Amino acid sequence: MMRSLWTAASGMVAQQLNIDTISNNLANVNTTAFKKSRAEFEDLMYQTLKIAGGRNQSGNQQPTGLQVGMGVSPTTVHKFFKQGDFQNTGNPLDIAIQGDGFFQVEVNGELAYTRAGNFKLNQDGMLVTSKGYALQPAFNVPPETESIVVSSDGHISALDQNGQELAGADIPVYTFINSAGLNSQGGNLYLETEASGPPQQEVPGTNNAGELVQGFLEKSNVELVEEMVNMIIAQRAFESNSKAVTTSDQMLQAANRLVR
Amino acid sequence: MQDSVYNGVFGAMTQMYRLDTIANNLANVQTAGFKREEPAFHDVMRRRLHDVVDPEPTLESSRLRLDRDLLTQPRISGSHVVFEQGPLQKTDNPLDLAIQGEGFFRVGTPQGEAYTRDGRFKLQPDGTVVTANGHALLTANGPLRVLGNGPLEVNQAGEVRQNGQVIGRIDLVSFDDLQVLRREGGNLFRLREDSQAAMLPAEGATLAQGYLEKSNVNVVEEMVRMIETNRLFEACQKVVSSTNEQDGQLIRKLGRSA
Repeated sequence: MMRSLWTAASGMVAQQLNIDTISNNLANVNTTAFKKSRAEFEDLMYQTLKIAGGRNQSGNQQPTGLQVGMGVSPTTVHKFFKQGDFQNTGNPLDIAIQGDGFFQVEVNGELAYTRAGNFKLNQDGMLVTSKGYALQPAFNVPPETESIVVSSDGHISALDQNGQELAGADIPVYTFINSAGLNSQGGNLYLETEASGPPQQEVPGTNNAGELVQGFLEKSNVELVEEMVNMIIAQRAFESNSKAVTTSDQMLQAANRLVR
Repeated sequence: MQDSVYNGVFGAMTQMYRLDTIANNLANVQTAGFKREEPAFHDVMRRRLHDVVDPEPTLESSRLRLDRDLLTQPRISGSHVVFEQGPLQKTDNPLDLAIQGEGFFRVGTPQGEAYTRDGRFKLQPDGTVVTANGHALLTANGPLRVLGNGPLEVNQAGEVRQNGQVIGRIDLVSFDDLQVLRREGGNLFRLREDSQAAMLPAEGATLAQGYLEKSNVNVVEEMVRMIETNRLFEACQKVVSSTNEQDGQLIRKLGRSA
């Protein structure tokens, strides 16, 4: 059958993936510290029907060859760790990272990384994520604590009513040379991979690592208008590829009409 | 059989090939740095006719009709890549680089150096800047490598700075004849093996950081071409079927009179 049918079909599949990615971005427009993704494509292989530079019938050198492309294929869905906007919540347990870096949390004995700083206290007074995963290093807030203060360089201290420190810890942030290579686990969590490189433990605010900001939450970095425009483009691209399928079909129909 | 049957058939085949190209362009309407393909087929029509015109025609030497094997050649001679600038899209990603003007990024592949205009670069854990397929972006001094995770700055001339320090210069290249580039898929172009084209520094090209060059496929144009292709195919089909009818009538009528 015609190449164009499959070529157009590959275009439709690619645009579907594009829409899937955009939908996920839109669904997470209000997710704390969500990072948007972008589907990326490349052209598939080419079939060479005529080699450029060869001789044609009249003995002249063929200035250009004849190559037919076989469509498009998705290469990656790239995550963008661009800073999201900040929301002032006034909640002392909301901590945002301003700049590069992740918090380390323990998930069922494994280490995972997150930028979602909406921490809570569990029944033991331990600082945990909304899903109950403990922030590393573990920090227990003593019961008689009056207030909790986090400095920009990551020192967290639990103070009593006289302002005396009852307990304190240093929260580091972890940076990766290639954050886009992290494995998204859902639940705002990321896992280290071979592509991301090993985590570098940094004191917040040093070595290009971000500072901690207490009382703020990092919002999703999805931009609604941008996603909407991308969605329109993806839909139209899907449509034009479907037209290529229709046209191929019509041409095949015409070919079939040759025999009556 | 009349020759027009072959004309119709090869005309139809040409249109099918043309649709393949259009479908490929449309499939890559969202591929960064993609350059559209245009079949050169009107040119061939002219050249084919020109080929068979005898420069010194005499009555004896002039043939009544054109050679069949000339007529029955497919009417496409080749296709060429249109290296027109694609529109730029702002992404704000520091590793998205767009080339403005004529030029290519050099990337290292296992099969040797290749060229691309797809500027969606990534990092490897050792800091090497690579394409989505892991081919290293080359500078004059080998692969570009970043140090740690400081913010990257790329200026128009391709100088890459990290923490204020120059870590490399992306050198864009061009060729005196762009048609020596062969497409390979994966957004890569490679130099044709036998080509003698000289590689030049891309002087007119500048880099834009945080931008992506989109595909230069124009959907409206492709749609119009697609309609045209469809109708031409139908016309060719009519040529074949009416030739067939004429042949049939000829056989019937001549057969009756005999």
